[in-house]
Amino acid sequence: MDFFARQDEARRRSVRYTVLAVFVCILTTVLAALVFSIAAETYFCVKRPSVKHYILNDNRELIPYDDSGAITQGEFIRGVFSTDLLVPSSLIAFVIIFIGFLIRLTGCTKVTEFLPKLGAKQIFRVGLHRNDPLTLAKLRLFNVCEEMAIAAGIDLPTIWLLEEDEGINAFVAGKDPAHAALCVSMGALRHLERDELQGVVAHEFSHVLNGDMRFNFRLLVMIAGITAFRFLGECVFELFRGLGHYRVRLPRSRGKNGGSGGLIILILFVVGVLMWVLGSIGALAARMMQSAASREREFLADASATQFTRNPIALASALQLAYLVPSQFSSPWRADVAHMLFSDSSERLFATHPSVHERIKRLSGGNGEFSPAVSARAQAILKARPMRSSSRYRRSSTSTSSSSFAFSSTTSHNKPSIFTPSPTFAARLRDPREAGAVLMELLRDQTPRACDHPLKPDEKRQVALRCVNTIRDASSVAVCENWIRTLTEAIQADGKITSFEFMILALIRRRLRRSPAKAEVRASFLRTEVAQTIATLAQLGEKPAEGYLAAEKRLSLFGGPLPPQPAPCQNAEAFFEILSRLEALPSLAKQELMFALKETVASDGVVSAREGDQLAAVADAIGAYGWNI
Amino acid sequence: MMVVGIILGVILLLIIVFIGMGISLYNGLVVLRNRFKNAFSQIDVQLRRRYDLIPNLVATAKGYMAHEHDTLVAVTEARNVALAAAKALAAAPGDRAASSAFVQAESGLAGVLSRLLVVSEKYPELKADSQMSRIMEELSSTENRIAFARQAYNDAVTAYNTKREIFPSSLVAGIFNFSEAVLLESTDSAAQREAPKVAF
Repeated sequence: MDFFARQDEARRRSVRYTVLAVFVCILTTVLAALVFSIAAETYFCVKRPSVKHYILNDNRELIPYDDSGAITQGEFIRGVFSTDLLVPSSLIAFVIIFIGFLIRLTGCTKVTEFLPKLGAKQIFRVGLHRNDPLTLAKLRLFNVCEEMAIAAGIDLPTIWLLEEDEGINAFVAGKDPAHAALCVSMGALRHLERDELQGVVAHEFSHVLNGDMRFNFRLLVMIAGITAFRFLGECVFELFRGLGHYRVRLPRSRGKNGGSGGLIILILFVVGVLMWVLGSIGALAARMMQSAASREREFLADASATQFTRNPIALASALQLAYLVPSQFSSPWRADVAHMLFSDSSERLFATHPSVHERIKRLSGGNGEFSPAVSARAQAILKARPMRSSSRYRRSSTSTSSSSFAFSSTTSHNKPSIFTPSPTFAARLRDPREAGAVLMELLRDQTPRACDHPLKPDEKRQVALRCVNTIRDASSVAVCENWIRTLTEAIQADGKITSFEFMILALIRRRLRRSPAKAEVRASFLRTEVAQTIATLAQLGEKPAEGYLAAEKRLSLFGGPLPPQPAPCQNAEAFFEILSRLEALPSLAKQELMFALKETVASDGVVSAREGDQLAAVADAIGAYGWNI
Repeated sequence: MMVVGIILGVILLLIIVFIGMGISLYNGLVVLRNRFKNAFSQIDVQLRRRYDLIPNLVATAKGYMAHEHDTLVAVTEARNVALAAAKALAAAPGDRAASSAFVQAESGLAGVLSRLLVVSEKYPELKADSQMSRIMEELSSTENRIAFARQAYNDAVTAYNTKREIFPSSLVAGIFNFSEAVLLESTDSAAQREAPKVAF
């Protein structure tokens, strides 16, 4: 099959899945309208005004006749489908979906605001400096983009660079081709050959040309509408919880046709449950269809890229490299940009991208095996990179995702130094028992045995993180609990908790216990907690008020201004409680909060060891993955 | 009376539908035609970029490649010839002689350029020069652009011709006289067809 035929095939299949997704959404809406209608009809049937009827009997006498139970099935169904019930019900359903749309749309930001939040910087051809070592690479990127814009016949989008991302990936953002922005990771800029970069850019431009941004966006908004039913269900549950909490006395039904409070509550509850189930199942099915459609769009983009570059092999090797040298935003940003990424691999059913082997198979026509030469290159790239990177090779061995975790100790502009232990010390760090001992030594503020030099604050943090990870990977739940107890006792022995001790506590609590993931909460619900966290960190600096304001300026995802600066949290346990609530923030909000906190601690010009410790503790406690400064 | 009304209505509806289809087919053809015309003008833009770049290239290389004076002169001359041919062609579009002269001049320029790139391999200082490596990058990008512009033109022409010949739109194309577009044949020899490899 040539690439034109493959494009047509992918286009056809993606349309098929899209139609299915739309169908699921319509079906859910219809069912929801029916549920409302049935609920209303049930209410009216039971609450029918009881009029005394009289009928004539055979002897021509009037006798009372009670017809309260006499609604037949047919009458009920007719009632449900009568226009005076069905029309309002459908209206309600549409209003709910509309609210879902609105919620989703208010969460959208413009590309020019969204990309800086990811840490991307726009680069310009005119701004290239002679003394920038990357000038040639950037020039090449510009040239490649312009070449591909010619080949694809689109306008050149703005070009952004993720400067801190040494993995290999790229994506386009923006709602339509005129506002498109191409974002490339630093790793892609550095490590890809010219023709591979060409393949990546061609793939992304195909997304622009085929209108995939708008396509995906519409589907996602539609799914958000369906999810609103589930949200309604949750609201009903919350209502009941609130009623139970305040011990509101529910009106009891008095007599046969008296109060209707009990009935209303019963109907409300059933409707809530049904809405929740309907919304969940509908959104799930629609998401599956959307993911399938998105996967087809990937094949389409691959085939279009082949049309533009006529070089499928280079695209295949770029794919393989991107898979083997994953970029950090593969995890934290997945939900927000996943469908636009050059390469992404998440769970099968909801994967927005087809498996990399399948894509390589279709591109190079082989059996989808990785090319050994490219694998060797990936290894070399990974080896040249600092250890903290969450490479796929390491991830497979530790099972849980590791967060990058390094903080500079002097100023926020310094790159963190990566601690490389001497071989004997490294051996200690790998042994779970010894790792625990090292932690104890760190807590006693000693230089750990076998370590050749006194540790700087950021090195201490890195060593502590490694120790905790070693213990986690090698120990059973009971042993982990044991370590938590021992270390907590050591920390609390003197009755006060320093920043460093607090960070160790955060580390062991989060990493040694396998707590279930929390359901996401809207960022605006947690404004108080966010304010307290910022205030607590601001208080470590010299000018708390300025630090608080610096963070507040940085925040935009939390729906309006923060409350005025609250008192800082003095008690470690209380602070943990706050942080554990922040764990429920959406990943984007977590990242933004971390950026804001970075502003706070840097607002007085110096990031002290205490501030660094505290920042690390917060990052780990709220689970801001991929976070590094 | 009723029946006639229905029949008339149906006929009217059919006419409307046909006109609507005709309009959309016509518009589709126009879009494709404009696309390939634009693609053609892109080729021209990229050729001019190459002419503009060459004086820079020669000026930078001169300092390092004193022994290759002849090559540099040849490049400059080929560039001037090609530029003149392009102007002649622009003055008389569609002229067969001007067109073939232009094609000749272009392929001559491509040949000389690739010779220069091969020769420049011998000068390590030249390779290390940042200005030179930037120009080399620009040059190989220009070669790519010309190739991609040609390819985009050919793809666009193919899409247009296919649409023009496929059934319902072929009717519209016939009525409104959408003429067949010509594919760009490669004018270079096989050796020149590849963009010069810049081994930096």
